[in-house]
Amino acid sequence: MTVPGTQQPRFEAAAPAAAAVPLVEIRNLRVQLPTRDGVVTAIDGMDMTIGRGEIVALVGESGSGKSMTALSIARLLPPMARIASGEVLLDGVDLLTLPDAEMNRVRGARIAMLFQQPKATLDPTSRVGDQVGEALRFRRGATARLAWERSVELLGDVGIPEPQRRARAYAHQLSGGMAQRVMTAAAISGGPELLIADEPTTALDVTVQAQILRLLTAMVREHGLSMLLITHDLGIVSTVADRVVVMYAGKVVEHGPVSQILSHPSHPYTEALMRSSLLIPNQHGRLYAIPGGAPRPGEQLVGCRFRARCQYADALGIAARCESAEPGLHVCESGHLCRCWAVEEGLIDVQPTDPIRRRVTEETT
Amino acid sequence: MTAGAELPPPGTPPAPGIIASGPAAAGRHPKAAAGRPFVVMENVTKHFPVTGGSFLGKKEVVHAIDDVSLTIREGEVLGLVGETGSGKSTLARLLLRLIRADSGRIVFDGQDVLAADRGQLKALRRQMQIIFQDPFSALDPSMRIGQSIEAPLAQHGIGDRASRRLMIDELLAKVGLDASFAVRYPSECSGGQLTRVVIARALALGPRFLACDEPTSSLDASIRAQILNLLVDLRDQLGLTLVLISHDLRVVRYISDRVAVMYLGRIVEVGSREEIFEHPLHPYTQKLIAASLPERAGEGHGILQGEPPSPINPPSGCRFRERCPLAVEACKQLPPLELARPDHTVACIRWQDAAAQW
Repeated sequence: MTVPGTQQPRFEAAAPAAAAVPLVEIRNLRVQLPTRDGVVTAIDGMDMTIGRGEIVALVGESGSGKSMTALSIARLLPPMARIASGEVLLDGVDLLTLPDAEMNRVRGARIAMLFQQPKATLDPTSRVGDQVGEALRFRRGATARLAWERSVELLGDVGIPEPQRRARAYAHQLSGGMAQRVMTAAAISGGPELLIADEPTTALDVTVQAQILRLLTAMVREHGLSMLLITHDLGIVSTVADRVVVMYAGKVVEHGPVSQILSHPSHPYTEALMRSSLLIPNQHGRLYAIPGGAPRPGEQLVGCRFRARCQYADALGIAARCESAEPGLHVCESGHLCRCWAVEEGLIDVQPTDPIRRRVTEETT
Repeated sequence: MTAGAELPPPGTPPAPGIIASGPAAAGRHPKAAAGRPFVVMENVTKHFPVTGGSFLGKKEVVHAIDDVSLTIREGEVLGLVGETGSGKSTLARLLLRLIRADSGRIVFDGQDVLAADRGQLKALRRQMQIIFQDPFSALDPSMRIGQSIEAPLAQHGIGDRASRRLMIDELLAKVGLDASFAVRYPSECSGGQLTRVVIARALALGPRFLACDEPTSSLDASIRAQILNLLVDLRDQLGLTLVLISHDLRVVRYISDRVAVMYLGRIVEVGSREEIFEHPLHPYTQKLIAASLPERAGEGHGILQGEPPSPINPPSGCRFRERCPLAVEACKQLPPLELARPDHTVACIRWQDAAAQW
């Protein structure tokens, strides 16, 4: 059975980065939020692309601006947020300047979202089959009957047992894992080109996390979608993503292919984040923890934003430099960008075998 | 085992407040000192009635905890793992009698928790504390941090206002926060800082036992390590006995001396950390480790299919049998928790086969 506009796959599952024109291109995006303590710049000059058929992971701590980036793409920012500058191009069309009615047609049909709390995202008063079929009815003009039949089919595709019966269930009758499967079915029902998944497995059990990640990857590859996966868990990045974008305090600090970032992270923050994620103690039984905390929103930042927590600036004797001027995104290898003075000036090599990297790693463990 | 007989009489209650600093010289792994049964659960069962069941129909119950026996030794960190709905949080709440067990026996340092009267319970609560997962909802947003930490001290009539102020500063210092936090509101703190505040409040009464229910799961990776280091430091400094509930096996592997694995209201495996992570014997434990520590699992450990069945009508016999790759007909009989290796018990009749395939 086919519903107009949902023939799949839409694109050949293109090899990552092979496509010439990216599906999504974010240029110099700045998002500001008014707070009690003044205007906070949540995203400060963001540039990134998502290729067709590509899975990009956006990694960072809470408050780094990763969820704001997702909401900016879908134009679902809270009302008080202000986009100070920038463009979000979908197939070359700037979404930020689209009239509301047109943007409404983009959501669900071309861009779909998955959130952290699947049960909170589902409408408790309507059957899940109706919710899965919403995008078909309201974006693709399918009849209620056709939408229902397709919903049942999709629920089966996402691994829900007895989809006929389950389509009649309400959100409260589902477990967290089942609810996230339903949300996945709802997200792909409109035949979108981009799936934005904001911490889709954070609230789930580890055993279910593995199932959902496998499902998401399969759906994205099978339907030739692009996916922006937002997560603070570097562990899930390696199994899923093609490329990784690391954000810190509203800025992209490192950006590159997943294999390079995870095998030899260049930016001191990425390196520290990976070390602290592993939870492997040193010989004194202590875990490596990044010292201090992320800058508070609204804090006046001069120079490198990670300076206060960075162990390289002192080790290399370039603290004055790091404190006075902010480094730009520097190309360290093809397709691998890093925002760090030490890397840009060649004071530390990207390889973990670099003697200074080694020394700092040993001193801090 | 008859725990009551071999337990020494209750120790003298610690000095009020934070002045009680416990065996300060305790080493990093004071396991040598550990070993005395400290908190003992015997055949504890807790069922919750399902509200809104059918009229005239059979009353349905959620089998939250079924016939659980567990011994927590003094000075150890016991990691409690399992999926959502396995009963880990219920177990912690039962230990502190935040909810009452239906049957069974819970003994805290020789004292029967279930039989304690009001006064005894209040005294017990000074010695046993709990911290919950979400620090944002655990603190009153309209109270300053200092007021929140002072509340249990005032409740138990410890010190006067001036001396309590000093205690608050000392407690904040103990969890790595400076005294200026006392006048802040929760909204002015980060998640990591609030977790420290919640720990400080739990330590205010000088407890000897602390249950931590998913203390780090709402925190960023970089902060999680800081909090875990803090918990280990506090355990060493104060001689605390800890129960740490987590679904993150990396956290449990780091912090625990012993590990108990729960599945659908029952304990399926208990052992030392080395035993559980190096030689997991229950097929469920093996699947859990394979899911969260893929580098630990051998070849051929696929991901666990499906989800735990409903705790309202759990499967008879071994509750894991419907998802278990090794299940046989005999698994319809309830498997006993038996000693399989030294310091390692498991409730699986096929543990030898499971061990062979790990």
